[in-house]
Amino acid sequence: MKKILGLIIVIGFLFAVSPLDAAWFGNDPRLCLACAKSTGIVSSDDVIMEGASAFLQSYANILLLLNESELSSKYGFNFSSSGAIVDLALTKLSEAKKNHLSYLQCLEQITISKDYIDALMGFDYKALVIKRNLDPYVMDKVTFFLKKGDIKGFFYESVNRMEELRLILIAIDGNIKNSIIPDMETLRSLYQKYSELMTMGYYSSLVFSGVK
Amino acid sequence: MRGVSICRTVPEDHVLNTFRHGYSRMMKFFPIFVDKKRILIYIIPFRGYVKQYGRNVINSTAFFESQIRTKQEQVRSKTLEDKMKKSLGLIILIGLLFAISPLDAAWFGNDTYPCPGCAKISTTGAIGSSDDVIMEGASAFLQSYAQVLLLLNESELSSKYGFNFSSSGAIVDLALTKLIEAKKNHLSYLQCLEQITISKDYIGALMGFDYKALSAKRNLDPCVMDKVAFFLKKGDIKGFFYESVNRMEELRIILEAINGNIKNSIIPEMETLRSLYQKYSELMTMGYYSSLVFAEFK
Repeated sequence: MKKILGLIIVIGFLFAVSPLDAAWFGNDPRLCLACAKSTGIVSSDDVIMEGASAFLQSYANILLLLNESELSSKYGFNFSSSGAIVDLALTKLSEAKKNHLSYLQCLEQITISKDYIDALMGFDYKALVIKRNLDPYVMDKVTFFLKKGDIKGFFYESVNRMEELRLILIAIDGNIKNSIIPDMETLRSLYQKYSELMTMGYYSSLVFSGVK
Repeated sequence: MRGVSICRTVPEDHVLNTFRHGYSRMMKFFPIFVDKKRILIYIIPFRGYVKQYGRNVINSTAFFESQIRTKQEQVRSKTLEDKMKKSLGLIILIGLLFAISPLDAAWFGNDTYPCPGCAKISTTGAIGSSDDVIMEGASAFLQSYAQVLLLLNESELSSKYGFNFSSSGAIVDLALTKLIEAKKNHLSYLQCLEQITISKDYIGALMGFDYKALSAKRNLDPCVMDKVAFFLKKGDIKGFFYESVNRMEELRIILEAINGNIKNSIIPEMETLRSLYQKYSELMTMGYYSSLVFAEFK
């Protein structure tokens, strides 16, 4: 009886700490397990997961920066807290970009199976949009790459967009360090680019998990 | 007089030196009060010397007058210097005010139809304008959304490390608190709007506004803009804010459910989190687009 009870508790515990099938940014084509190991990375899952985690944290900090700008209309711009927020957003974004580049390096060393590419090409993107009530405008940007089976193209696009964001953030960081309030248009552009990239990453995860 | 007797025994140069010493001490301690009359008062104790040594008096007077003139010039130049300093201070102050001046911040429903006087209750309890209410609502929503992204981060990391109930619970608590605050602020604004008549001109401007041109100009998502234009194209500002409040209520219910699960050590379902993200993302973008529209009529 005790053994059975112990087993039930262990199973319950395992259930409680079991992972979510988390998929928030580019998770998870599961294509690159072997070559990821050769680059000293545990698995491509880890690389993508860490990249997604860093991007989410960076985006969260951007929203906090927008909050600082929102409050500045009444209290004046707080250079100290905004500076700290931008620093963290920048660090996390660089981390996310680095992870995606690692994944791309890994992809460059393998041949993606024809079956997988065919599955991506034959995938019903429009049905997914309807089923999940997604934004067709953003989905089109994801489909542009994945409908051709161009997984690398999609990840290169993500990396390029991250680089764009990084440059904007560096400029904002420089301004704040010199006590110059960031330009509203720059912040608007920053938010729009983050928001779109986040949604693109999320939609790609939905596609990859649909193809798996 | 004591002064005279002393004076008889002291050489002329010493008297002058004494004057000079006294004068310089006075200058040292009372430089701001320097003028001719005050110096004469300072001279009084020394008048015995002056009587005794007429020539010295002339010399002394000339010395004092020249010193006074010098000092007056110094005072004048100091006044000029002070003025310069004040101007510089003013310039610095203006610069500082410019540096801390507000951004034209607009992240969620800002710059909407003004409602002065009736939106007096904000979450901080301060009496403010409708601008303050909207600003506080936007600020709270941004903070809530930031927390939701951190919750997604927890779920992302859970694929490797297992779900962290403790930190996720704290994140959801804060997200919920801030969302309720945002909703309360938007309701306050709506209550305020219900008490006034929105000008026909403003409604006309909203109805005639080119939403597609704005989308094209700013590279906005036309699908989300359509959802904003659905209300604003009819001049239905209240409708737009009621929609925001309803969506916030939906989000609140989802967050409450997630919170309940986490408190009972149940991992939130992936589908629930997906729905949460999509709804937050869309509402945030709708709020942002509405601000862009309202800003055109400021």
